[in-house]
Amino acid sequence: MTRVEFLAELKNRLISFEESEVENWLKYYSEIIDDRIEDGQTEESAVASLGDLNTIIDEILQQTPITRLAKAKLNRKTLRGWEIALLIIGFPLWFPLLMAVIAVILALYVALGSVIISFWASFGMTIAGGIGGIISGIVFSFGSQPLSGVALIGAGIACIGFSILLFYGSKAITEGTVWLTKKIVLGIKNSFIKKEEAK
Amino acid sequence: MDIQMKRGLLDVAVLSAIKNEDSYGYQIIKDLKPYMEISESTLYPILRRLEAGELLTVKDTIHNGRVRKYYHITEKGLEKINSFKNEWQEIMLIYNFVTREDTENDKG
Repeated sequence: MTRVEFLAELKNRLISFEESEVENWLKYYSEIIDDRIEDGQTEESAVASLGDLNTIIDEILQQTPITRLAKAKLNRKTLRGWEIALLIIGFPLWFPLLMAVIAVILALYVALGSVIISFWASFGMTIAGGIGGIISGIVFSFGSQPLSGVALIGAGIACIGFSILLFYGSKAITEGTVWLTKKIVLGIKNSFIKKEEAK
Repeated sequence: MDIQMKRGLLDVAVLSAIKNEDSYGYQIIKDLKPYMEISESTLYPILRRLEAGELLTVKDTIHNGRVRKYYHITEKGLEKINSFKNEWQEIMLIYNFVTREDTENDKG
């Protein structure tokens, strides 16, 4: 292969690179070939000693960051105008869909929020009821109705026991919601990364 | 060899090749050849990286009616070589520790 053939082939194979980048590689190899020839090699052997072109391309690709490759690819994208047109034409379709998704997530959170609030409220009420029951039970026990007083103390203790269960229930539901939120956020982030990679 | 380690070693080797006098691509490859096999496509990104990191500067020089890029080491590049030498002593200590059983076995 001659110098000119090699450089033409290299340029051809680096088609997905930015132009300035291709120019740099061509200048570099051109200089090396000239230096090898000056060193006494024939043009043929100077080109051959650079190694197999497939290997060279592989090495160049390995050492070029993905971001630079993606940028170059993005710059060369020709369908952009067409894509914008599609986005505008499809607006009546994708916009309501997007709104629906947002509304569903919002509704889910309102519902979950209500459940959480009611759980904590029930917890608050039972514990307040329990304490109130015990206090009034004691007052009644030493008063005119000792039997009702004892019953009230018993009911108060039962309420406090129930409130302990409610406390753990409320805590679990709150933690579950936080976990779900993290999952949703992660899901949205991932979809962005995938889109970036797809480009 | 670990790819990060090799990368670091190649950086220092290339800097060392231009330490005493400015040099160009093909000459660097020739100078390194007895010590390490380095292809043209590997060298170029290293030179670019070192230039971006201001460890060397590049100058276009006309040679026999064509352009040849000469690479010149900077202060920062010289510092890099020095810090490599210091680090290497630490690495050798660790190496001695890692291989201590081998040498003991050899003695035994």
